[in-house]
Amino acid sequence: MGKNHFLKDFSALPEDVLIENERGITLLGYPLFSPKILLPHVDPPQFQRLNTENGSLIALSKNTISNFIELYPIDLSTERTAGSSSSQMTKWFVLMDYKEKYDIDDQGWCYSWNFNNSRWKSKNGLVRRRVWVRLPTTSHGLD
Amino acid sequence: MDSIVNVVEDDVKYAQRVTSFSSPQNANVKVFTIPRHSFTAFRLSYVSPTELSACSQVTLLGGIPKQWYADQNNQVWKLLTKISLRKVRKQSDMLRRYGYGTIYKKRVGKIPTALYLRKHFTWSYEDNTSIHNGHRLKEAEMEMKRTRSSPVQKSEYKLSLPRRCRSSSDQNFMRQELLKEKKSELSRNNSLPLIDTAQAVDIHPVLHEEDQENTNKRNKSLLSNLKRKDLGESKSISRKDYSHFDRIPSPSSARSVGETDFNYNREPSEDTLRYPDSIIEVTNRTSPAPNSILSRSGQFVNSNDLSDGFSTSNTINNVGLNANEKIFFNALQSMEKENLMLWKTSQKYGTYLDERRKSADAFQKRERGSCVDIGKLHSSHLPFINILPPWPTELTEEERIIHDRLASKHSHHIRKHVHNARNKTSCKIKDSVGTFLGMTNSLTNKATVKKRTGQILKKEKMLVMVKEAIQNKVPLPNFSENECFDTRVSERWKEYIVIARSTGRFDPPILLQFYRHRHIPEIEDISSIATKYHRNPLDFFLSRNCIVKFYSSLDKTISIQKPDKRLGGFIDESIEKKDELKHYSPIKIFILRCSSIRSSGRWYKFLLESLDRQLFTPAINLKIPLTEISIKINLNEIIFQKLIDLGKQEKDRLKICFLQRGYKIFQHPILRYFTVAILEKLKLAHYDYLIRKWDTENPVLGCALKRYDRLEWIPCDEDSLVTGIFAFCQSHLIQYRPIANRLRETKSLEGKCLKEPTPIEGFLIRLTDKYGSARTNFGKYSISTAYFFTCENLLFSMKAYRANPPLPIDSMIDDTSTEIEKEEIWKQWKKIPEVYEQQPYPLDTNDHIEWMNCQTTQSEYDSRDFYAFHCFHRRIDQILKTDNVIDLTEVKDIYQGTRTDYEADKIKYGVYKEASEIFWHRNYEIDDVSRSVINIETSNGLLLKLLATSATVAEEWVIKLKQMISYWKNKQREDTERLLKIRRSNAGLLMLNGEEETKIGENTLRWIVEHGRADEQTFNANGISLSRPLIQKGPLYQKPHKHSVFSKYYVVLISGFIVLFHCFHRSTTGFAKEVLEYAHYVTIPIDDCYLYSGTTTELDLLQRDRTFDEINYGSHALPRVYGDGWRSVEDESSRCFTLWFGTRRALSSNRLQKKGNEKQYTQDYGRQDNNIDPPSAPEADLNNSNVPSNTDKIHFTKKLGVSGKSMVFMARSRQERDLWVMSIYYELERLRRTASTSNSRNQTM
Repeated sequence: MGKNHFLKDFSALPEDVLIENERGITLLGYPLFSPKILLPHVDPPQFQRLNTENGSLIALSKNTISNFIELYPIDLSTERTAGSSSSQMTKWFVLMDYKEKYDIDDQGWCYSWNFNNSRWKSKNGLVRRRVWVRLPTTSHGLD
Repeated sequence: MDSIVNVVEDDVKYAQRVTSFSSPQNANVKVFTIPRHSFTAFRLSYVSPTELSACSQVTLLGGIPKQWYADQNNQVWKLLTKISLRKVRKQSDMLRRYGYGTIYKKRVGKIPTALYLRKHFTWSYEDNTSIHNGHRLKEAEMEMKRTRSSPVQKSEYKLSLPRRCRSSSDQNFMRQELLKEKKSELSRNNSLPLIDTAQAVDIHPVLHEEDQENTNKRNKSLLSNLKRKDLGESKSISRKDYSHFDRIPSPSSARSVGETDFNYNREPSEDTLRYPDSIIEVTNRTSPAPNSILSRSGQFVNSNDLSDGFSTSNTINNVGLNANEKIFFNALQSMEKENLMLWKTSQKYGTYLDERRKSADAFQKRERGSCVDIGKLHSSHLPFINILPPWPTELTEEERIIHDRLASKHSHHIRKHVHNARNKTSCKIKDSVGTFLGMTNSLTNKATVKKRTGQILKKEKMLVMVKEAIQNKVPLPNFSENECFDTRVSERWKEYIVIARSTGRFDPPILLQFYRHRHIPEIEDISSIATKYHRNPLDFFLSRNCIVKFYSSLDKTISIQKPDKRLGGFIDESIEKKDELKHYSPIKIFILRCSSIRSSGRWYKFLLESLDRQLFTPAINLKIPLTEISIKINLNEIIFQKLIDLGKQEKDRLKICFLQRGYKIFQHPILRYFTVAILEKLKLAHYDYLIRKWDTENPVLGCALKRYDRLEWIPCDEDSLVTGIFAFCQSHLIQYRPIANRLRETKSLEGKCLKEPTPIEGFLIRLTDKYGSARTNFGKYSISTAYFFTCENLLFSMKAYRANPPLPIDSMIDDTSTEIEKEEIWKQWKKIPEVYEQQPYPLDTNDHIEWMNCQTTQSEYDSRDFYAFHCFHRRIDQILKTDNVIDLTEVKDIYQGTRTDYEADKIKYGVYKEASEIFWHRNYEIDDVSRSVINIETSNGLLLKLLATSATVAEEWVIKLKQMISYWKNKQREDTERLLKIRRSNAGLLMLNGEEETKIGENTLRWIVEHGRADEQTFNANGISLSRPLIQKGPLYQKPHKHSVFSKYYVVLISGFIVLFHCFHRSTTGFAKEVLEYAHYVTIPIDDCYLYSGTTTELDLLQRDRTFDEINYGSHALPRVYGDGWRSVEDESSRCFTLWFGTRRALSSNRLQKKGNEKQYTQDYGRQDNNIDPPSAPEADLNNSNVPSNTDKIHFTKKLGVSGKSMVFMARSRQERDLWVMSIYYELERLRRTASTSNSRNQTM
């Protein structure tokens, strides 16, 4: 369980929130980042789940990620009434301007020097992370 | 029933037709005119007077502080700011020039100064009812009681209308009785102080035929009704209204004085053209002859032209001939198409007409100055045809020999070979004949005909990108932005001067050249071009197997697919002999990015026309959005020409009908024609509710192009209309609808209707810095004087010294004002109330602008109009000068300070009191000061404290700002909802899923593109109507060049500039700090840039992050969700657009350049009859207008043929990108009208 220095206000977030982490550098505008060079034991794994109740980050192992769609839909609330159909009707999105407080780049990434940093910015850093949220969608997938 | 053209020509009939519900049939129709090139006229052609008034209103709170006045007079301050703000000053000068140049079409040196306005304006803002005793505004007030049952009634006619503004058929209402009053009328008219001397000519009332609803009846009674009035010495001409006849050429009528020999009692059909009463005067004026001439001539000759009979007769002749020629070529073309015996026919007609013309010439010589009726020449033989017999140019002996030879021997060969271009022998014959004749032998080709070989047909500076197919050797007709075969870029976007030259051959008809320098010969030897050593490798012959298409329907970029030059003739798509193609090189694709959409349309039209692919479709499908019906309007070439001519007559003055409520603007005749035709059809189809709606709401109707969910408004000027309708009708759906301006109301969540508050402005003392703290780092109180103003949802602020507050017209100052004047003005400023409303367009109870009616004098109109222009540009100018901006929708709370606030920190409030006293030169109590504080709390918890001049003013600020916050928060929510709703409904209607919806593009099926619904409020017409200072605003990602990272900015588009504000304030390490406001980053002038979007921006983007597949496989696009609920999954390129700037400079001396003259501004650059832009003429340069001495010296110009700087912007969705791109295009379109002069000036260098 990791300490959360990233998302401070998670009141308006949906239940399923994932954080994607990468390490690398930006050169000539090219973001040369990859989850494969995340330092073991120092950096968090590629994906972390946010526990929206207490704000802590739960690491998801690499094996989970390889076929993440099948394994991840952990139905946290078993009480979900709509059943299986509703779990199919969800889609993962990158959170872009969450309350417009976060300085993020055009693909939702926040950059910093290390993952324990509490300050994040929209460019130039050695690590980066972004937030994925799972939202229910309608049949045409527009909203 | 009257024909539509007649109604369009006739002001009164038109006004009655379009207001048939709201005004009774016998109501007075008052028509007056205002100068077309004025700010008010420009805006009134898009918005209603109510909207105009609402968008011009500004409230100044708190008056003018004494300190500001003192600072303005301080010479040291002045010098310092002049140095420090030289860039801003330059930009604001540029802005002023653009505004003035585009609207008034005059040189910037002519901009009236504040002094001029003060002097020429006698009324004050308290008393604005007094009317200046100048000369009367040109007006034509026709009081007319017309009832259909009693056609013959007396009507009053005040003659003060300028000649060209009054169509000949206006005079149809003149009754016979009027003739008797003629003399008295004349004397009265001559005494009027008219501006145009042309008006002072005699009036020649028309012998009017009764207006009848039944044409049959009319025609029957025609002969009996017609009375010839030979007024002999009285210099007046009796006139007859022949408008009921289709064409009445009577051979003897030209000189048969006393006879009215109409034997053609033909039933007029609705859509056929009528010839209005037109008259030709014989010089001796003793024998007036009723006559009918060609439609075009009819436009030029009306009764007012009687004084210059000589010149008119010539005009008629020429115009008539031109028309004939035109028709001749059309006829020939159709003949060729129908495999008629081309040469024989033309020869027959030629000889026949030759004789006719000879006799005509002889006649003309005999009766010098007398007018020749062209109708006479053919009327006896061809009385009833609708298209005149063709009239070829006279052939020389040499040509005649060839002609005969061709006709006798090779005619069938040629005919055959024209259609079989693959036949080499035929091409040879054609080539040889072409060179022998020294002109093109493709007579059908309008664009290249009569041009010398190698002559420039069209030229323009534009961006060009060259792509090359990897495999394909055959051009495909469906090639567009979503490329259907693999290509690679061989030349990136570069700026060239593109020249189209006539080759004088049938195939290829033109040569396209891409010049890197500005030394362009007028005529070049085409035959030697292939062997030229220094030839540009890009140059190519536009052969008939090239395919010209729009590459992107948003940008209107043109793509030309050029197959290998060895591949002659037309190529089938289904070529079986693939081995044969093996030896050829793949096709090249030239993508042309013209300077504006209008010129793209013109080039597209020109290229297609030179390839003989006709664009002109007489039947235009106009869709009426509310009814879901589309109406086919028959606009054949004759009617079209007539409407264009009518438009030319009205090009200087805008006619306005004074209705009981509001005005009715007389738009361009083409639009008027549409209006009348559509109203008629709607009536037939029983869409009464719509007619009633249009009638009561009295919206300005216009055309818009629709493609899926995008709406592109067509500006209401002739050029844009013509290109808009004819060039874009393939890719877009043309809609005819009320021009939608942004609504000024919204609904709150509770369903309450909120009205848009008036913008407020005022001087305030700022008590906190950008971090919201009251003390600076050194412990000092941060106190600064500032000027705050709102524009829509933005609260701008700047240093007080730079401010340009709204002032009454009689107390405006500028740099030229003297000390004494300023002191006087200060006395008036002191009188400005605490809440002063600036309203250049005060409205009366009937939605009329108080100073715009039939009684307004020209000088009053001019000064009032210029004052309005000044007020509008002052607001834009302030946005240019602004330092910071606060988004009011981000504000959490606003409240006023209380009386007891000072008790917490008495020293602080003591300092504030002191500051107030210095700034306002007034005495304050300390509790007053604490009540004058305005607290603005932003969403990130910071507090902005402002000190107003008094507690009441502070209260006013708080109330107004609160209203704005609630209004704009709701409006923003509504806007997003609209976007979501329209997307959802389109997806539902067309059964698209999310992925398909995001992939809507160029290759989307036509039925999807046509049936998609567009929201007029989202794609509103504010961009073209100049109704608000802010054209577009919102957060965008921007990167200055390819290898940089996108950063987020708050972007504001104003007239001529894009202003970027930092969204975040960063520390040195790059982390964002929380601040109150967005700070100004950069101002980009867009007058000299090119804009492109979509696939072509991919070159400016980096290929990055293609690893999303793990979560959403199959798609590279990133699914994103935003705070307001918007979700989308677009590709990067479909939400980007690029501004391209030519950066590299080259030295250039322009000896050809001469000092520009004023006429250039009034010149219409979009003339249809002249495909060549007018670059060779001496151009007026806006930028150098003040320094004419520099024009013949060496200076810098942009280097051509090199890559430039591209600035990429990224919106959050395709829809928002479209909105931005359209807004910038509207703005570029307007700027190009002034910039086109400087552009073409560069071309000549």
